[in-house]
Amino acid sequence: MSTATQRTPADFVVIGALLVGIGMAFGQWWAPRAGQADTALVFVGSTEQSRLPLHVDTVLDVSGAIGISRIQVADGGVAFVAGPCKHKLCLRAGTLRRGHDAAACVPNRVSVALTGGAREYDSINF
Amino acid sequence: MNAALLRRLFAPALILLMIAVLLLREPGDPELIDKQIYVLGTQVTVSVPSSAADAEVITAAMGKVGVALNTFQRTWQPEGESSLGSLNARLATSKTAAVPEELQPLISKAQALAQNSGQTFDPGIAKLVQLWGFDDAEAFRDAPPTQSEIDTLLAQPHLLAKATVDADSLRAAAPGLALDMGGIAKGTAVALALDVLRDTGIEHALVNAGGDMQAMGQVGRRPWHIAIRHPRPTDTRRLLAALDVRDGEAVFTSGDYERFFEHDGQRYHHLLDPRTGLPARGAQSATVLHTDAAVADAAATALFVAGKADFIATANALGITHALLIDASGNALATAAMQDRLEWLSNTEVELVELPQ
Repeated sequence: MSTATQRTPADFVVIGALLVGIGMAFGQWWAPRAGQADTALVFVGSTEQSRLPLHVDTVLDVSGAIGISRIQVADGGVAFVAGPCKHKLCLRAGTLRRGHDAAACVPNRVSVALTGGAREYDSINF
Repeated sequence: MNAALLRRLFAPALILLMIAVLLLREPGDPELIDKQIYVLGTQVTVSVPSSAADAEVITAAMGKVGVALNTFQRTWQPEGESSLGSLNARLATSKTAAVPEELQPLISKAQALAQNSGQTFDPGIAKLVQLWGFDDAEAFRDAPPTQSEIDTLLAQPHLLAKATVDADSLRAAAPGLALDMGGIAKGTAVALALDVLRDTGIEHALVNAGGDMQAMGQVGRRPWHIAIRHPRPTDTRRLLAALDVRDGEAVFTSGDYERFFEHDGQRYHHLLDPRTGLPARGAQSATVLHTDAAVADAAATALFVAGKADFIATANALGITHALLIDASGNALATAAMQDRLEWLSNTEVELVELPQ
C-alpha cells in the first residue's frame, strides 16, 4: 500500500526541472556582473604577441618599436611597469582588471587589451 | 477538487510552467568577437556580436578596415607627401592654395565647426602643435616652449576659421597657415571604419579607436553598454560613468591625460587653446555623445578648451545636446540630456546645465 511520503519517478522529474529552472533563472536575472576579465592580450602593432591569464602572476618583456616594454600580471590585474618611452605615460595607465579596458605604450607600439570573464561593459571610453 | 486530483495535476502543471519560463525568457547576450589593428597611431578595436557575423567574416572585414584607415592616414598626415602635407607645404609660402578634392569635404566641415566653436577648436594650429612636439608621441618636450616662441606663431595665420574656403581653394590672410586635423580625424576615421564594415554585410559593430567610439546596430536585443574611464583613475576608482550607446551614436572624450609632460609640478598636455597657444586649463576631460563622430570628436576638444566658463555657449553653438565636462577640480558639469543617459560609477559632484532651446 502506498503512502503520502513515497516518491514516484514523476516527482524526481519535477524536482529536477525545478532545480534546472532555478539555476537558469539565477543565471539570467541574478548572477553578478563582476566585469573581471580573465585574459590580457598583448599586441605589438596589429600582431597579437601573447595571451596572459590574469590568475597567473607573471612578468613579460615585449620587444616593440623602440625597445622593451615590461608588462606585469599580479593579483588578477595587468599593468605596464617599465618601458623605453620618454614620458612613461603607459605606466600611469595603472592596473587593468575589467574586460575591454586597454592601455598602450604608443611610442613603442605595444598595447594590452583585456578580454574574457564576465563582460560588464562592451567597451571603455577614454 | 480533492487532494488526490490536486496531487496528480501538480506535476504536469509544474512542468508546463517550467517550459513556459524557458520559452518566454529573454535570450542571453551573444558573445562579442573583438579584433584589433594598429593604425592612426593607436589600437583600433572592432567588436561584433557573434550573432551578427562569424570570426572569418570579421577577420576579412578587418583587413578592409585596415586598408581604408591606412589610406586615410596617408591622406591626412600634416607633413610629408600626403595630400594634407602637400597643401600645408603650399600654404607655407603662399596665402592661397588649391585644395585637393579628397580633402575638401572634411576641411569645409572642420572650418564650420571651428567658426562655431569660438576659437576653442581649430585645425589651423599645426605649427603650435609642432612647437610643443605633441605631433609626435615620443618626441614631445620636457619643458614648455618660451612665450616668445608661442607669440611668434600666434602672430602668423593659425586659424582655419578665419581663412576663406571655397569649393576647391583655401585663402589665408598671409602665408604660414598649416592644418593639423588631429582634433577631428579620429571621428572621421571611426565613421569610415563602420562604413567599411557595413559594406561587408556586418550590421552590428562597435569601433573603438584609442578610447573613442561609434556604434552600429546593437548587441542582440540591447544597445551597446559602455563605460567612461575616470580622468584621474586609481586602483579603486577606475570608471566614471556608464551609458547605453544606441545605433549610430558616437562617444568621444578629450582628456589632459592622453599626451602630456610635467614641468615644475605643472601638467602640460596636448589640448592647446588656439587663442593662447597654451594647454587649456579649465578641465580634466570632456565627453560628447553625438550621431556624427567627427562632430563628437571636434566638440569634445572644443568643450575641453572652453572649460566650465564657456561650456554652455560652446555646446549650444556647436549644436551639442549631450556633453559632460570634468572640470579642473574634478567636479562634473553635464547637460540635462547627458545626465539622463549616465549611470554614475564614481562619487562625483554633478552640476546640471540646461541648454537654451
